[in-house]
Amino acid sequence: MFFLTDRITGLLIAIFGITLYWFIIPNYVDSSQSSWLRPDTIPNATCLVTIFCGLVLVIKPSSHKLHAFSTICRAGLFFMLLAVGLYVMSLVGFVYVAPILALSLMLTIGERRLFWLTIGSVAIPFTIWLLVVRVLERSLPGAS
Amino acid sequence: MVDFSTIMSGFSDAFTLWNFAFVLFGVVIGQFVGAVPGIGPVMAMAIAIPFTFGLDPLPAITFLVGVNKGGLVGGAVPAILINTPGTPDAAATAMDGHPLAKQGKPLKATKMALFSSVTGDTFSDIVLISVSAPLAILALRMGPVEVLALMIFAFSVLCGLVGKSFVKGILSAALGLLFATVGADPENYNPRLIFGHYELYDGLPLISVAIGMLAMSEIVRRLSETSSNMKAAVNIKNTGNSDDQRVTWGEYWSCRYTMLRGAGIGTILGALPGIGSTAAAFMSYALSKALSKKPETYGKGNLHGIAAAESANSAVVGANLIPLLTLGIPGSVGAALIISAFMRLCNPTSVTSV
Repeated sequence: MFFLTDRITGLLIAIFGITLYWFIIPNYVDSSQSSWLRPDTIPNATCLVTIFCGLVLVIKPSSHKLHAFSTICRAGLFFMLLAVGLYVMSLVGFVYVAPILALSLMLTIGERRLFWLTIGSVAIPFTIWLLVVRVLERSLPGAS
Repeated sequence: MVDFSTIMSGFSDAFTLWNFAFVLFGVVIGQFVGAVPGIGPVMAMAIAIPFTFGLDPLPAITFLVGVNKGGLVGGAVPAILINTPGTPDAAATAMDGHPLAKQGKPLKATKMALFSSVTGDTFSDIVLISVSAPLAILALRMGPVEVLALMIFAFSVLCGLVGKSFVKGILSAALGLLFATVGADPENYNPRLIFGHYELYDGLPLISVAIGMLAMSEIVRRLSETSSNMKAAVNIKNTGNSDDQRVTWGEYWSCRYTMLRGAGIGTILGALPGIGSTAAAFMSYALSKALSKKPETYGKGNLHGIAAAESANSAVVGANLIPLLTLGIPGSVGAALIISAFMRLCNPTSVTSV
């Protein structure tokens, strides 16, 4: 009963708010006194509201139950895979990473049909590259 | 006093086959780019403007306005089908559009979005043609205090009505405000929370936030719940009922007050420079839910939810031209691009040189 979604979400949000309030905002937002409204006023105020609401969720959660542990693990795995893929993409480039990322994601979720693997890992990244780089003349992550 | 002779003269100039062809062309392109998350009608207009310099002013302007308006309608398509808004304006549409699509009624949802968009846009265009001047003067009297009051009202409505939990509503608004503070402080231009990334000086790009919030969560959810048995991303069930694939006149007519309210909100907010169609869509949605006799059906595929969001966001596009055409103040980025094209196309020297 303790491990309700709202309790865990509220706890994480409260920790996020406390981290911002005590560590991040003092270091990354100027606290200039010269202006009528200090630059850190609104971020600090929203952090306090965030901490308060997070704690309220911990104390008084709704009955929303947690997903199955296996589902959470799978979500975490895919999130990590996407995050690592996007980070590597920013370093190496869309052209090299996008097909590999798409292929690895499709294989991980169990896709084995060659047609769809080709569409997802070759045709779609190529179309995106063609549309964005060639037609719209915009850059893709890490693309030269 | 409305000058009908000028209006009729405008209609006779505008209603030619050639101009209609350019409107159609613009709407088709706008719908296509609007349906691709991350591109959007504003970028399409920016790219299209240089190509219009070879055209007469009237078809060029109709083409650009077509791209802008078509883009807004196009943004609703991925919002409904895959819960990923093509444009930020369509985020509110996803709240009821996607559940309706999951019930096997994607065509009903997209058609409702189209019809309510057209209704909202037509309403604001009529206001633009008939009473734009007095409305522009009223809009100019809205100073920062009034705009702040309006935004606080919008936040209050959203906190109380979007979702089931009031605490979660406040939390969402607080997190939204926190992320909105990323970038330069408007008073002294001091950087806030940019962590050395100077590309964040203008704040977090709205489309990135919208895609990150809605699309990424949807992708991770779908991936984590996928079994080895592959299914299409958009599962269009055949319910066997033809009414599920179309919007009947009765359904459209039952949403008339919702659409009118949305169109009114969109027109008023659109006439105020700086308040975008996203705020209008959410405000209209929240108000529609508040006034509904069955608020619990919102978020589960209620046609009124789609009608409220789409009529409001489309009404903003027409109303954005009110301060532009009467006072020369663009109400949005899209309107700013249109005025830049106006200045280039309607300048006698540039037209003769083309």
